[in-house]
Amino acid sequence: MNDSHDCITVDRETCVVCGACAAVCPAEALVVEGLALVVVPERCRPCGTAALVCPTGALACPGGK
Amino acid sequence: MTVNSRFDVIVIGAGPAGSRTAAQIARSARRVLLLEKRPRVGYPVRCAEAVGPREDVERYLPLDDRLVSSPINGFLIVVPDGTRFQREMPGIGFVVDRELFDQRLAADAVSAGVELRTGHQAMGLIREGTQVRGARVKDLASGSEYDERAEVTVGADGVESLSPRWAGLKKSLRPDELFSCAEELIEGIDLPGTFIEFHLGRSFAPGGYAWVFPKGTGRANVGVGINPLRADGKTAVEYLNAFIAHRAPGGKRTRLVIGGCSVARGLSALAAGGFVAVGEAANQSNPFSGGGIINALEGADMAASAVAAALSRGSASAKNLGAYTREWRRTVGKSNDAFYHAARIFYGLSDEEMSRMARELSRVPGLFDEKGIKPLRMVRALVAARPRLLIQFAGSRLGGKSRR
Repeated sequence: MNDSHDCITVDRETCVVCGACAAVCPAEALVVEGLALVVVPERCRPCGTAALVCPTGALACPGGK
Repeated sequence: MTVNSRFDVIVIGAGPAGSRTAAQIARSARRVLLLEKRPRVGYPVRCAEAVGPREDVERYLPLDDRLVSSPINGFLIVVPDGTRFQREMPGIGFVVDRELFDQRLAADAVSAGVELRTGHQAMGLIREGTQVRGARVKDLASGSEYDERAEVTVGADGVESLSPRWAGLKKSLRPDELFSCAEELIEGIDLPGTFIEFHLGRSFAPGGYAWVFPKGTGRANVGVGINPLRADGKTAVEYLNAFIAHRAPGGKRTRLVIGGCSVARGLSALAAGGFVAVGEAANQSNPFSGGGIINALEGADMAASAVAAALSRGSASAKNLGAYTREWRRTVGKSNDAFYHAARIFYGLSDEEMSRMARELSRVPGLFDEKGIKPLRMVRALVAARPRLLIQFAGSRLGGKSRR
């Protein structure tokens, strides 16, 4: 459970909902629903993994990860 | 036995793996529900669209002029020092229209009696103990959720799949288990014939490769797939821009395709009680190239066969469905393993080592057959050319027993 409310953020202009982030998120905090990317903040650790794989650079992880 | 369920099987995902599995199970006189979360099958395309030879593809779908964007009649590999290796191989493959390809496979499933629901997404699995008994489904248009029960649930939900994770067969991918990819369909590119091109090197595609797949006269899918851990802070899109500037500077960009492409090793278990995984969701794509269309279709036929047999015996137990895992491991699983080991060695090479290795490989007889590279032969050649690789190779084999 994430008490600090730190969570990955998504630049909606840059995100094209490709799902690469959902594939690597260990916590199921990023889910593609239909054609939309849904973030589930209470599941986000944050760990920085999704931001690393995003092909467009749409994800930013707090703490500079 | 599941009473009052309208379906024997629920298939999650109407890409090639899901549509084919659904069609083949329906043909064994079972009631099948096929769920696709997107409003339209096949759209948007998230693929470089290359498939193998005609006789491989036409086991599943007849190829016609509308499906085929271009034949592939050979390949060109450009290594980091710029040396080019080219080989004509007539009929080695095709670049297809993936949107139409997927729609044809889904249409085939429907004609076999499958019920297809687009805009409906599995949100979880229904379980009774260790047995999966169906899925919790959301109608995305209305937001309402419902339970759909079935003896067997098939997870064919692609690279971002959750259903095999819910079934305990898979963990999230590590960042080095996928290529982060970006591609443009370019109009106005110089193409030396109908060759499929692979460009290697840290500056174009660190830990992966850049490609040019012909889509017709003067048109091609031009893309890059990178290892996110070697990206040096740059995105796939940035690498794509650099590669397009190099390879197709005057070209017009007409369709941007973005995605993650699995290069993970095939799952060690493809089945659980009441559940099987197929296609990219099951890590069945080629760990060296990321290609997965025919792999998905092959996996689908094996899954369908095992599911139909288990249903006939009245038990969708993990043991019965495990026949699918054994069949996959016995056949395609072996080349999946070989490509996985080859990729670990090959993509770990420095630019200089890669250029040198390509020269060595080009001298190996019988490296290629009519279907492409023979992976075990490539691994042996790599190891022979550089004995230190033997230790890496042995290490990756010994340490490589799947954790999943």
